[in-house]
Amino acid sequence: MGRLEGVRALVTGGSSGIGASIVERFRSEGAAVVFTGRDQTRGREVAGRLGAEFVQADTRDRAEVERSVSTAVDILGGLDALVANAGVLHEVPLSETTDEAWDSVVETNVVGYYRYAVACLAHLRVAGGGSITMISSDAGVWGETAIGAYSVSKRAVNMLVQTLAVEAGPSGIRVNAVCPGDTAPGMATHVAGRDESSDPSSWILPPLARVGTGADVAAAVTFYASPDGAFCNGSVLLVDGGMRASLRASAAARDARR
Amino acid sequence: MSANLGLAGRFALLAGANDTGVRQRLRDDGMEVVELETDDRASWDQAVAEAMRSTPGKLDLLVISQDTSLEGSLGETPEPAFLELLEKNLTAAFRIGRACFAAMRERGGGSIVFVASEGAVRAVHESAAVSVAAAGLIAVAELFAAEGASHGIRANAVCPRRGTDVSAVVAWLASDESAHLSGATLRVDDAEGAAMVVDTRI
Repeated sequence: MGRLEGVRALVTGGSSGIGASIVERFRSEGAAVVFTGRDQTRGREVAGRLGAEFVQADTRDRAEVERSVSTAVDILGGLDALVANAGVLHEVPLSETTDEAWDSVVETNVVGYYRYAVACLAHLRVAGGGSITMISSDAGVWGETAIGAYSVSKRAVNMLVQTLAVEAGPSGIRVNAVCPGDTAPGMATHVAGRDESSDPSSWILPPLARVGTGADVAAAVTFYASPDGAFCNGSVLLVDGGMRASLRASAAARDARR
Repeated sequence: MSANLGLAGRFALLAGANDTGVRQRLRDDGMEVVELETDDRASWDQAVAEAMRSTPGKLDLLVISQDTSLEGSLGETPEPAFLELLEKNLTAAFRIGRACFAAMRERGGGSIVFVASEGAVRAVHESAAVSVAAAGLIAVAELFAAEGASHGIRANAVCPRRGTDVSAVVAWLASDESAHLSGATLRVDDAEGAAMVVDTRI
């Protein structure tokens, strides 16, 4: 018996990285899953492999968001869980961030999450409650200069979670944030501003001395979406190997290797 | 009579500061205060550049008070209103901050004060969009602080309860008295956000 048996879930940005790991884990726990993505070829491949339904949608387009939500509800026969995950990252310090990069990050990471959350609220209420889990970032808890606008957007996401938790809580809808650190394959391997995918072996490591995996993040999301997370609402969970636990957390892994 | 913070002759830019208290306080302390104004989101760089032509010296202080209010939970906030609020309270502050950060770096440092709201630190779900934008604004202050440390640039956020006068706090943040304070968030709320006040002895 899976932990998500009977759960009807919508995952945004599910055709790659962390999102695909969430779809995979949700399916293995017995959830029925619809996921969105921009790339149809990739989406169909993941859907076929994991036994989920793919709906092409760009989170920057309000009409596509609303259409994808109603399509998902039609396919699933209702909705119990939303995982807002589709995001973009520009590797640029805030002072050098262009208007285009800022707008793109805010629109996808903040407005996109707002759009999906609001569009799903009514359906979750019809289901008598459920969960919204937003994939944020450790940079939303404690910013990172190399990814300025991204850090700002994720701080705003954590506040989306807190405000929505209070609004939706009385309807039995729990709203929580998962804040991954560097994860591969994930956001940090596909970064605007870099010519090639970044090599995780060159990354600064957290005290647990490894890069996070999509499965690490999916486990936390599964907890929130399952009955185990029944009393979690407005909570913000770091899944970062301890990277945000202290000022020089990354030195621990480095020193241990000497 | 306010404390002498050594601000006389220093140059300040104010953006979106409906707060006449801050303007008056800084002028009383002898600062030269210029107000930035534009309705066109693309022209903040130009407005800052023009303002900087009026002084040969440093940009000692930038105060950004983008304090548009908007009632409503997230679900009650229509998308156009949500977008407009983010634009006014977060994106505009970023753009002005970026332009002034460059001017400060060029001319040897300065102090940036972002006036957010109490909802930045403790969520105010009845004004959800305001809280979301204000939380982002705290991160903007922290990131400019971290980036600016090696350029003599400080950035801090002030989070007043609506209607609370922050002029003395802003003046202090403009002065050398606060030289080591950067990346900080100051609640100016008479302890409202300090702890949940619950009296069980009834």
